[in-house]
Amino acid sequence: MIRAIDLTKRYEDGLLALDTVNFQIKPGEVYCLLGANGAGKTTTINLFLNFIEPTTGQALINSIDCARTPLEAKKYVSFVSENVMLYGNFTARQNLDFFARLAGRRNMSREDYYMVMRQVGLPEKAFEQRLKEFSKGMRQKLGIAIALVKDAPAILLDEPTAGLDPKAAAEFLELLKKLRAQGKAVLMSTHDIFRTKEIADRVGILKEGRLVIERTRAELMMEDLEKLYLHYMQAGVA
Amino acid sequence: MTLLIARKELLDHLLSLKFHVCMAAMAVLLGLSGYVMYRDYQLRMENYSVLRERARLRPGEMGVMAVVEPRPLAVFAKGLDEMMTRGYTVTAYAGIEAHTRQTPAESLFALFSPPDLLYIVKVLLSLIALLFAYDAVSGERENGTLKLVLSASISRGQLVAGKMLGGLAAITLPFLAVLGAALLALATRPGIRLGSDEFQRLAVMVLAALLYTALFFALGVLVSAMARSSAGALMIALFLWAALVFAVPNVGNLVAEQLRPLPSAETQEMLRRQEFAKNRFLWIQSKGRDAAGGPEAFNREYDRLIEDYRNRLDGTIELSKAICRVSPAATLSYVFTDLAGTGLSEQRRLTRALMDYKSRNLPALIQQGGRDAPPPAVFEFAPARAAEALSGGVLLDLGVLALSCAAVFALAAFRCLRVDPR
Repeated sequence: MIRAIDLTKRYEDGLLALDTVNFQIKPGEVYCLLGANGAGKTTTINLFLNFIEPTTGQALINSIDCARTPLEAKKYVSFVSENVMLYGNFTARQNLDFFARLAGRRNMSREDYYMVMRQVGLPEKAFEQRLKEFSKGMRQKLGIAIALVKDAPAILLDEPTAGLDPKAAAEFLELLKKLRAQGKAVLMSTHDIFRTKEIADRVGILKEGRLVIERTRAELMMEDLEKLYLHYMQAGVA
Repeated sequence: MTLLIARKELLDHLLSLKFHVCMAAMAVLLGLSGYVMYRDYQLRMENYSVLRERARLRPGEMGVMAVVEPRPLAVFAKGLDEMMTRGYTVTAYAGIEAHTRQTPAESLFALFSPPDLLYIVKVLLSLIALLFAYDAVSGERENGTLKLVLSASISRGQLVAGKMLGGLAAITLPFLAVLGAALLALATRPGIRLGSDEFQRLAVMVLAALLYTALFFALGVLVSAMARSSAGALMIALFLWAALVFAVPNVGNLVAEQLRPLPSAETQEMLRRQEFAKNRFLWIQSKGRDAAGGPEAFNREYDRLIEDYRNRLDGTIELSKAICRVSPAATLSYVFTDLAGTGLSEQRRLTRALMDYKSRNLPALIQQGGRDAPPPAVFEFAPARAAEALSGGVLLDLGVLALSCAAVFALAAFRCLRVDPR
């Protein structure tokens, strides 16, 4: 569903942000991209969303090249960013309604929106509350609700648990598990090794634009992810 | 998709505090302007009636009073109306002399000059347009909503078009509603004649106001797409606003004056008096036999001086207008005042009409005071028709506004298409 083939990005200033990265995420799989700041995690997500174009290689969603036919590829992907701000003057339901219509879902009723918001764990009183009054955790939940409403088979998450308190982060992971159970392919960039261990079916560690190691959940049962991560972070790139 | 974005933009603006504050300010100013300008017009109409009566009652005195009726559309764009509608004394020996202000009550308005529609559009509406647009792109980028929206299957072109449509609708719809209400209130007031010709002019004024607002909105979007932060965009937008609305028109006039200097009014008056003294001397010396020093000769010299000055003034004005058109605010002022009959074109027409009047009535003016002297005709100055005003320069200025608007829109759209949402 989500696939990177020799994905490379060199910026205009000469910085090699991503160097021949390859991975594939199947439906019902959560793939976590770990790495330090500037390792290329967000660049990878940006390439799948066609916010930037690859220097070489391909970013594919549902076998559609994101650089060649971005609008077609985006039909199959939902995105949840690090800090979901949304529109502060709108209520949660109005935000959801706008993004649902943007995703082509025009026949949803007020009750349908309420149901989705219940599903992500937003309190009832927040449904018609302006986003200005929402905490970060609540906004992240609404971000997931937006992804749910679109019902796309692929989901991209850019450091979604950054800045969340432990309870909110745990609730967020529960939602991800539900999405995985629904057969969504999830690509999540994160610094959070603890959450990665809990949710990831596969983990890739990026260092200076290169995918230096990839491990499955089964493999991680026998290895300490934290040690592995620190080992690769301290070692030079081969 | 474009309509969906436009709807979202409109709703987002309608729900914001910024919208309510700006629209309340606009409504209060428009209402106040309508009321005060109407009272001012009424006062000047009363003055006009009094002066016109005096003009008719002066056949025995030297000279004749020429009075110009205030234009009803001066309520919307006062321009030079007050300067033009004072009385003028036309004599055979002293030429045409403009009177000073008519009533002390007018000084009250001069101290706190009331904002007319032109001022509200030029200053307030342009500022509102920039305030609504400066964070159109930079704000969404800061909030992360730009990434979220562009992660959907929507092209940047659709997004830009929707944002522009929605933002413009949020400014122009309330403006049109308040203006419509103000017009309705004015049209039902006694003492102001708003016929089909006036409504045609008003329609063109509204079109110009919409183009002007759209231009500033597009400028705000352009700045927003180029700036890295909303705070930076706001600073740049305010700087551009101050430069285009206030600085450029004044600098344009200064540059035109430097390039084509005009003699001061004092120099002009001194030349006229010298000419007058020379002619009188010649005439008296010849005991009235030498026509070279007679009133006709004096008037010929006087007309030549005035014509020469007027041609130079016209040249400076045209140069100044050409330079000032860099500023949409100046172009809008030309459109509004020319349509209202209170602009530079109308002033030029009035000067010509006064000179023609003096030439036509010169025999009557020379004989004035003598037995059996025919009374000079009453000065009549009908306003130019709407079509005449349009062809006399309004269409050019409207075209300049439309082209500038299209150019800034194209630039803003081009910049938005290349904007980095990260």
